[in-house]
Amino acid sequence: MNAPLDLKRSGWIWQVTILSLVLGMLLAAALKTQQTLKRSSGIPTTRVSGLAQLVLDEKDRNSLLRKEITDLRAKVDEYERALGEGTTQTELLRDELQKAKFLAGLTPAKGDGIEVTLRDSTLEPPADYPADLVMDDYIIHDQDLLLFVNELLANGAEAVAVNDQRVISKTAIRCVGATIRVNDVPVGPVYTITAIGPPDVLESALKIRHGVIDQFRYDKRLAKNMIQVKKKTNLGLPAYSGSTLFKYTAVVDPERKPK
Amino acid sequence: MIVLLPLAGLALGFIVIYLADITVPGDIASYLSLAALAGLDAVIGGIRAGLEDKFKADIFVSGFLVNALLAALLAYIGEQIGVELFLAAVVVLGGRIFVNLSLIRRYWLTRIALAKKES
Repeated sequence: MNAPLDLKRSGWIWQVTILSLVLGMLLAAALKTQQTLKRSSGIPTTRVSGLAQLVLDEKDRNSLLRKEITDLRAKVDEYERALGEGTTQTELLRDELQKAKFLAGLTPAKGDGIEVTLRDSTLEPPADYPADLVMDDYIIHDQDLLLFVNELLANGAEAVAVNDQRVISKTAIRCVGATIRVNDVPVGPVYTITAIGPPDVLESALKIRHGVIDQFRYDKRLAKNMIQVKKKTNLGLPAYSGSTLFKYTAVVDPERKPK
Repeated sequence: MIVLLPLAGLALGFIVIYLADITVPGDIASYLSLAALAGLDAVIGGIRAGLEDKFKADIFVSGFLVNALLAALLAYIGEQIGVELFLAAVVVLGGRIFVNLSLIRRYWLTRIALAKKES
């Protein structure tokens, strides 16, 4: 092209270059920041503020409902106490009720047992690891929790809770989006399963050859990295705090003869 | 090719910060992105002015700084009063970047055509 790009005419290029350097820095910092934000939340920043408000609203509603539950439970307790102060017959009734509540997991429970901690892997997958297996293998899924809870129950666990959510007959453990819900309450990663039952039996049931830990993942380092089993004395499990409403099921009383 | 210097500068700055792994807190992330956009506008505007022989250093540098700050300030005010004012900055700056880029393209095309005619 026209060869003599003289200094007077090309001076601006140097200044543009310097500011381009600054611009490059700004762009890189912005890009890096967005990348880290996206990795941590999966949501572009422009939408975060709106979603945050939604979360706050829901949280408020949630705590209101929770308070309602505690209030209602307290009222029920009060009625029961009033009942118990009556005759021996009502007292028997009260004991019976207490037993039923314990069976249903509606009372706190304590006893010896084990604690199983499951956490997402901190290991780097090996370079030749199939990419589609990394997501599957390196984080804890609802199936993992189900498997462990089931194994514990099968081996004599009498009361089980996952992250302080008591497992009862109506309990579901499942994945909703990126979080696992137990009793419809989201529980965060680092999942702690507490089980009351014979500690030695429970521990060896998990650790037995071909058991759930032995067969945990294709990459055998992962079991050690993600699972921790500890025997515990005097574990305390909370009561089930969700809804006990039955909409479709009616009681069948075995003592009443069908007409 | 002296005209490639801005590109080289851009790449250098980008690589340095990218490898240094520098991030800013999430609250001001959108302001940073806006400042980057304002910077992009200033640089492309500067190139256009340079190609048109109208380049003035003071306008260029002050434009870079003031536009970046103004855009961030506008976005901040918008956030305070619940109007997405940063969109205004994005639209204006983005539009100007496109206009300037197309002018630069025209300029180069004319120049190449001229060079061909001369040879």
